[in-house]
Amino acid sequence: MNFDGTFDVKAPREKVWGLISIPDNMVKCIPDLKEFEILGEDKFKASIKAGVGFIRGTLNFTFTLSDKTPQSHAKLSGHGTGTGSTVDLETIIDLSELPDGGTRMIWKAEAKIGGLIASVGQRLIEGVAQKTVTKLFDALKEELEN
Amino acid sequence: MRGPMATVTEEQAPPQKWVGQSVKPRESYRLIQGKGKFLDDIKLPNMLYAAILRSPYAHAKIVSIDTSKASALPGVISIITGEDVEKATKPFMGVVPPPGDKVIDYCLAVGKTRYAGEPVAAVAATERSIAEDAIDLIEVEYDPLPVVVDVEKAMNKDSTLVQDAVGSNIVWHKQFNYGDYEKAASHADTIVKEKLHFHRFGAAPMETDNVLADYQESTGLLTINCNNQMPMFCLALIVLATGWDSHKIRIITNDIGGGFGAKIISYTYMVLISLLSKKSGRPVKWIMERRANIISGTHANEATFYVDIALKKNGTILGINAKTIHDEGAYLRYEPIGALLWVQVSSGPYRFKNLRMDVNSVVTNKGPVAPIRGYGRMQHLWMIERIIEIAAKQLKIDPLEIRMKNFITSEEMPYVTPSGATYDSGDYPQALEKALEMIGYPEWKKKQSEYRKHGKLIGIGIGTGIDSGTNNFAQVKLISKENPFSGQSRMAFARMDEFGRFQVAVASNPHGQSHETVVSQVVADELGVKPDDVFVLPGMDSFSHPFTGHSGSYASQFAVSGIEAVLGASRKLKKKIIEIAAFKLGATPEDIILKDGKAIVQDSDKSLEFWMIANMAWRNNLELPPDMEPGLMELYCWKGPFKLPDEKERLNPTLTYSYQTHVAVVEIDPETGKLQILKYVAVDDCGTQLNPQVVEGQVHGAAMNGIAASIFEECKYDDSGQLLSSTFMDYLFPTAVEIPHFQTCHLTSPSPFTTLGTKGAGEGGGTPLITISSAIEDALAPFGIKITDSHTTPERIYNLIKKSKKVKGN
Repeated sequence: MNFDGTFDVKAPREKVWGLISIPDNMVKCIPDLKEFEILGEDKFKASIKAGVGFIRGTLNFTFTLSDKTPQSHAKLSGHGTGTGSTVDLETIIDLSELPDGGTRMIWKAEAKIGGLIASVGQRLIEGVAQKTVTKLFDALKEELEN
Repeated sequence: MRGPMATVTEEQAPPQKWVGQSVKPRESYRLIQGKGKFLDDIKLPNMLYAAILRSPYAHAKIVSIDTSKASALPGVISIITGEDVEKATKPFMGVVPPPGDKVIDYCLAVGKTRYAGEPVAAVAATERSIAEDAIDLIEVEYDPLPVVVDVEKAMNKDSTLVQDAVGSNIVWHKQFNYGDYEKAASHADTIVKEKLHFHRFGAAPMETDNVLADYQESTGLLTINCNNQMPMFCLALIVLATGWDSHKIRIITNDIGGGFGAKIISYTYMVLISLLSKKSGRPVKWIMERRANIISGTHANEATFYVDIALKKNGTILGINAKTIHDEGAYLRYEPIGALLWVQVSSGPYRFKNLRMDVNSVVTNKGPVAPIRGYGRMQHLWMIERIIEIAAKQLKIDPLEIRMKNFITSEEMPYVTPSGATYDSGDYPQALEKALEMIGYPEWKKKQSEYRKHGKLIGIGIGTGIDSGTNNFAQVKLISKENPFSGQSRMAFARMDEFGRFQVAVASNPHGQSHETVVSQVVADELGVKPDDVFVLPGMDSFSHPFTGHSGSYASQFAVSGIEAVLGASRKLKKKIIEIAAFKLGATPEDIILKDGKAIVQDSDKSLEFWMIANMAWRNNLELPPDMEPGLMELYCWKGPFKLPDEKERLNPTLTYSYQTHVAVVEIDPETGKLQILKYVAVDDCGTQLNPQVVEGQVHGAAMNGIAASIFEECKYDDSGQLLSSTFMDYLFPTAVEIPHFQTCHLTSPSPFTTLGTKGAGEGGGTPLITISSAIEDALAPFGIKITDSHTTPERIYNLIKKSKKVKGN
C-alpha cells in the first residue's frame, strides 16, 4: 500500500523539524497510542491500539529515524506486530519553506501488511489507514500551530 | 424455469439381489442424528490441546524465535519450533527426481518460511484457550524476502528462489511425446492456439484437519487418531521422516466430516502433534481452525496451459500440443503427481492419437497443493474441452458436431489412448444425446436466438468429464523410475462368528461414501444373508482393519479395489462354509448353495444353519473335516491387474473410467455480469451401481463441487503472497439458493475388467467446470468473448463485456 501527501502548516521549519526528528516530541502525536518507550536518539517503541473491522488489539511497533538532513529530510521506518499480523512501514519526509513563513511537508509512505489484517481486513485497510493518517496530521498541526 | 428433481434409471436392478438396490445407508442414521463419532468427540484423560503459530510473511528468513514468555504462561506444557523439528526429523520424502528431490519439507518452517500461513511453532497446553494465548506470546523475528506468486515469473532465471537447494523454481520438467504431433500438425488445415488458466481453489470440508496423538512411553505405542483419508499410505512418509518404530504405531480414523482429497497431506500435522505428545508425555489434540484450513488446509492444482490443437476443417482433431505450468505452492508433498495425472485421461473422450506435453512443475510462495477431487484430470479435461470449443467457433463448426465427430464410440472400447490409458467401456455419444434430450436442447436454442434479439444473454454449455479410477501406482515411475510404488491393492477380512453372523473389515477410511452399507450388500449377496447380518467395522483402526501400503479412499476406486478385496475374502469364507457343510451333510461342495442363513443341498431337504457350521469351526472342531484348520475368518488381498510402463513410457494408469456428461443453461445479465443457472442436467455412467442412492449422492456432490469452484470459490493472492480470500466472507460458497435442482440420469456400461462390472466413481471428473465455462462462452458469443479461465465471477464477465465493446468501438 502506498500513500503520499502534502501537508502545509503555519509554523517555521525549525519547529517542524524539531517535532518530527526527535522521538520524544513526535511520539505524542501518534493516534491511539497506548504506551511508548524511547530507546535512543533515533529509536523508540510505541504500542498502538489497532482496529480493522472486527480485528481489534494492540500493534507493537519499533520505529527508527534515519537518513536525517537537518531541517529538510528524514526517513521513518517502523515494524509492528500484533493481532496475528505484521506491519512494515517506510516513510520519507521532505520539508521546505513556504513564502508566508510556514512549512510544507511532502511525505511518501509505503506499508506492507501481512497476516490476519492483510488477508481478512484487506477491504477495510485503506479506509482505516486514511483515517489514521488524517488523525496523525491533525495532531501534528495541533501541536505545531498552538 | 426450475424443474423438480428427476431421476431416470436406465437399467433396473435385478430383483432379490442386494447389489443394485438403494439400501438406505446405515451410517446416515448416526450422522443425521448428530450421533456420529468424530475426532473432536474423543476425550482422553490428561489430554492437552495444541495451537499452531503461523507465519504472517509469504517468504522470510526466521532470524530468531523467543518462546520464553509463552512457556511462562500457566497451563503451557510444551512448545516446539523448527529448530526442534530439524533435530528430531528428516525432510519428508517426495516423488520427484533431482534436482527437485532437494526440496526441504518439514512439519514446521525450518530456517525460513515459504508461504503466509506456514506453521512456525506449536504449543501444547491444558486448555485450547491457553494454547491460543501462548502462540500470541511467541516472539518471532523475521527478515522478509522477495515474494514470487506469479508462476511464469517464478520460472525466470533471476527469480527469487522458493526452495534454494533446488537451484531453480522449476522443480520438475518433462516432455511426453505420444504419437507424432509434428506430423499431425503438418496435415492439419488449421492450428488453433490459446493460453488457458485453471484457477486455484480449495475444498473446505466441514471438518478440518484434526489430529489426536497419544504416545505412551510405557509401551512405546504411538496412537494417532486422525481424519486423513489414506493414512496407511502416509505411514511410510511419517516413518521415513521420523525413524519411529513403524510396528508400534497405531492409526485410527472415525467418522470423517468430508475429505475431498484436501486432508491427504495432513501427515505433516500427524508428525507435529505426535512430537508434541512425545515431548509432553501426554495425549495432544489439535483441531485446525477454519482460516488456517482455507490458507493451508490445501488447494487444488492451479495450472497454466499454452495449447495448440491441430484439426481438419471438417472438425477432425489430429492432435494436441500443450505446455503446462503447474503452480505447486511452496512445498511438493504429493506433487508433481497432479502435474502428471493427465496420462489417465490423455485424449479426454476423444479419438486423437497425437499428444505432446511439456510439463513444468513450479514452486511459488503459495499454500500447499493436495490431491483434491478431480486431481490432475479435471484440469486437463477442462483444457481439452475449452480448446475444442474455441477451435470449433473459429472453424464455424457446431459444438455438438465437433464432439460427435471425435468421440470415441462404445464399439471402439476398450480404447487405448495416446498415453496407454485404456478406457474400459462407455458411450459418450449416447450420454450427450440423453443430456440434450433432458435439457430440451432444440427449445433452448430457439429461445436463445429470440432472447438475443432483445439483448438477453442465454448460454447452453456442454461438458464430458472422465472420472478415471483405481490407479496404478506405477504411474509415478513416469516421474522417477526410482519411485518404489507400483500397482494397486486392498486387503479385507470376512468372518462368520459362532452364531452365524458376519463381520467384515477393510481399511477404506470412509468419509461419506457409505462403505459400511455397500460392503454389507455385496457380502449379503455372496453369502445368502441380509445386509443386516453383516457388520462392517466402522472407521479404520490399523490394529483391526487389514491394510496394505495402498489402503485408503482416493482416486475413485472403492467400488473396485475395496469391493474386490471384500469379494475375495467373502468367497474364501463361502468356500470353507460350503466345505464344512458338505462334510457334515454327506454331499459334494458343488451341490451346496448358501441361502437365507443356511447351507442347503440342492434338490433335497438337507440343510445346515450357519450357527451349526460356525459352532463346529469355533468351539467344536473335532466335528470338522479331519485336516481342516479350525475357524471361519478369511483374509484376502486384491492385486490390481496392472503393468509397469513400457519403453515408450506408456501404461494403463487406471483400471476403470466412469464419466459424466453435463448440460447447463445459464442466463447472464449484460449490465452486471451476474450469472444464474436456469437448468442443469447430469448424466453419469459408473458401470454397475452397487447402491444407486449412494451414486446419486456422489453425482449431486460432484456437481455442486464443480459449480461452486467455477463461479464461487477462488484462492486469491496479492503480490505479497497474502491470501485475500481466507475466510468465508471472501472465499465464497454457494448456498442451497444458488445451486440449481439437478436432473440426473444414470447409464450403465459395466466394466469388463472388474468382477461385478463396477467402476470407481466419486470424484466426478470436474465436469461442471467444463460445462459452466462452455455455457458462459455460449451466452457471451454475441460479443465474441473467449472463456480462457476456469473461474468466472460477475466482475470478470462485466469486464469482458466492457472490453469487447471497446474493441468493437461501441
